[in-house]
Amino acid sequence: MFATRTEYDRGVNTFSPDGRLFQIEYSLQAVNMGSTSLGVCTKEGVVLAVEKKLTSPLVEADSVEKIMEIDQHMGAAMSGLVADARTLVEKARMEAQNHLFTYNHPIRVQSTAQAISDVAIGFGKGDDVPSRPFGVALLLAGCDERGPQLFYTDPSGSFSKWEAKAIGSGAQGATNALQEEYNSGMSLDDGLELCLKILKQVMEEKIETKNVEVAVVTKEEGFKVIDEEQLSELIARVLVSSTNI
Amino acid sequence: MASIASSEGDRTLDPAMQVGGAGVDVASSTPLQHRFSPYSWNGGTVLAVAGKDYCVVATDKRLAEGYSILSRKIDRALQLTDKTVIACGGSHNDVEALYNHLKLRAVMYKYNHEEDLSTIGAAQLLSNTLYYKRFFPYYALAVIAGLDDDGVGYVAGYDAVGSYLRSRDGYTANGSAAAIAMPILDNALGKVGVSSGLDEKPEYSIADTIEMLKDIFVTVGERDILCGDAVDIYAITATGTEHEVFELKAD
Amino acid sequence: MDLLQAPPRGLFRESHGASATRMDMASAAGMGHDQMKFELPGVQHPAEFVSQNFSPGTYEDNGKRLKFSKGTTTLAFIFKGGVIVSVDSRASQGSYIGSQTVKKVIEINPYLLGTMAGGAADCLFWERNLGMQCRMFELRNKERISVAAASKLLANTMNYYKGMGLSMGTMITGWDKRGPQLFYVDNDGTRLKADGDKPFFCVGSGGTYAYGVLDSSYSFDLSDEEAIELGKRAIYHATYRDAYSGGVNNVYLVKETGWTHVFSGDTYHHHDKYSAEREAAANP
Repeated sequence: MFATRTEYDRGVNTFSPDGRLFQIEYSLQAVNMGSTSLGVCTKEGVVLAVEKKLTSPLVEADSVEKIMEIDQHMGAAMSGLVADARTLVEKARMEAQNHLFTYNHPIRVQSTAQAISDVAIGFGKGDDVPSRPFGVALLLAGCDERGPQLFYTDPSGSFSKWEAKAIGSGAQGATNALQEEYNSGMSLDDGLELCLKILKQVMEEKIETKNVEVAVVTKEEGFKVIDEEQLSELIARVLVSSTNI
Repeated sequence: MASIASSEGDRTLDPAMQVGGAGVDVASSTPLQHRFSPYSWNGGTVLAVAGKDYCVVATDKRLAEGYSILSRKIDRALQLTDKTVIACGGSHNDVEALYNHLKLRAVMYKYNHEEDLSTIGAAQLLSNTLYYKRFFPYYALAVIAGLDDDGVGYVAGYDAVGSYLRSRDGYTANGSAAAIAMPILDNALGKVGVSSGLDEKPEYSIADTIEMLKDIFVTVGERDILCGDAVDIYAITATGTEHEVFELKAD
Repeated sequence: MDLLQAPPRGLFRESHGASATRMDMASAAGMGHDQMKFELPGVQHPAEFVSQNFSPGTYEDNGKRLKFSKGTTTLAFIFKGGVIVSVDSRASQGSYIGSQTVKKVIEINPYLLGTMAGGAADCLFWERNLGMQCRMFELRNKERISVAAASKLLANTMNYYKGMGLSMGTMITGWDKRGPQLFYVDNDGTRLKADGDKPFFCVGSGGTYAYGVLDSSYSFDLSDEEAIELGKRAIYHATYRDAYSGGVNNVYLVKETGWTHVFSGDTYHHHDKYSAEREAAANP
């Protein structure tokens, strides 16, 4: 009945004879086409950094938001369809508030990753989720009693914990760079610098404050987006150090 | 069956819900009002005292209905986790329903979050659970006792719909004889107000606290008909919870 | 929001009378109550049954056993320096004093306060719920919710459960873009804004006594110290005359930077102070 591979991708619930769900694989492809996001976990906190691909010089850069706060102690960076990510982030925020309301204690980062994954694989099962897989992956950064943590959640509904992770179109190059330069003993500052350095390498455009977004999550201050002033300092530092090499 | 419903008015109930039983008032030959009275008052007194690194909760084992004693060895306390015990007076059917629900929630919490539900978490959960039945309450007068995240004793008392507060002075009483027992605890341990006498109260050891609670139950058992038979005592420390049964008079 | 995870029990689930319809309506309106499934008694008119049997206001005279904590004096007023919130700390269940150390000011978040009068559980639960809604607003809109909007959320909730026997008289106060703000919200869904004509509210069984003190001594131009003192004095006189009020007096001051807890002291010590003052005034 199904002559070619493509006919097994007509429905989201149809396995191919060799056990694949093509629609989910395609959704992973949507992530690979997205802008690059990086996450680096250090002892002092977690860094999230994303490339903002601005479609036109007329776009107001501030209105493009690819790192979002989930709760005081947690944030997420996204690669893929931003609209889908907003649904996931909204659900994660609800879950966090609900947990606080029920147990009078902030939700664990891992529990949030689990909750996001549950929504991701629950596509087609409600009025407020799409009927197809979510076309987005998240890097979830947070601090709780177990220390700073970085989780990766993808459209297939699985999640995993990482020391450093890159997703999006520049993931391959960025992952190689992370494997070479990341060490678990690095400081938050080193982590910040590493993220921007790698972003600079994998971005097509020249790095500037307008086309990147950076946030950190620390035990002391929780989730904080790096402001423009600090960001331009960091970029300047990265540009100088790389010209010296 | 003890009733909580008032019988005024000519309200009729859905036939499926008639719980109070049917009957005819012979004198006036008018039908007797059916009442929806799903509550019993089975007594039950709970006392709890928190220390710097321990917590003790004690509750009696008598189950009464009206003036009859139905059981002398009922369990009113629920060991929810290693560090948390809940005990309730009230309507024992509701208490058991509440416990079954909480047990389930604690187990699911452990599976979902890979750690035990903390005492503070359990305290909030209990409050919300009671409140979600705000319009048809669990008749359960609860006390939660345990150790908080820092290992300090935690004690809180609840009303039937989940209003709760961690006791600042580390003791509380609830249930049948609460109004008799509370002034004794106030006098021994209270640091607030002038009714309690001394400004500086001594620190009691866990063994002294257990003795004090036994003494109070002996005293209260002489004055409250619903309190007696035996007392379940749970002593909670960082190393775990020890349970003992202390016999009271069975009259 | 999955706020109720109680196992369903077919026998008592909704579908009885008017209140069930109301529950459905609200979920359609997306008011955030969609998952809040409150179990209702299986009688023909649950709302009537509930409000007659399980409300803090009605138990006293008919000896019903579900005694909910209640009884209070709380007050708040706007003055030039911000807002003063002053409350007692007694919770009574009938004539029994359930607690002398209740925190009747609920710290919704660092710039919003709510007070508690009526059913303790009703206030506590819905004001925590309000805190959650305010936090969601903040995350979604990247700015704080106004006091007007926050109090409206609570008033909507109260209106939604109107007739179900909730008991709550609260003041929501804070400082937003429009300056110091104070609103009164109660279980009927009433929502009043404090302004020049009525710059203060007193709520609870001792409120009438507190009103007497505020009416005689309030002025918009009080200094911070004078305002705090007025808050203490009004609560003292209420605890002196109202048996349902007493314990500890807590005073909060709301400023542009958020609220601070400026005073906490036993009303017993106030008695010494104010009676000494009265004696001194009588015998100069």
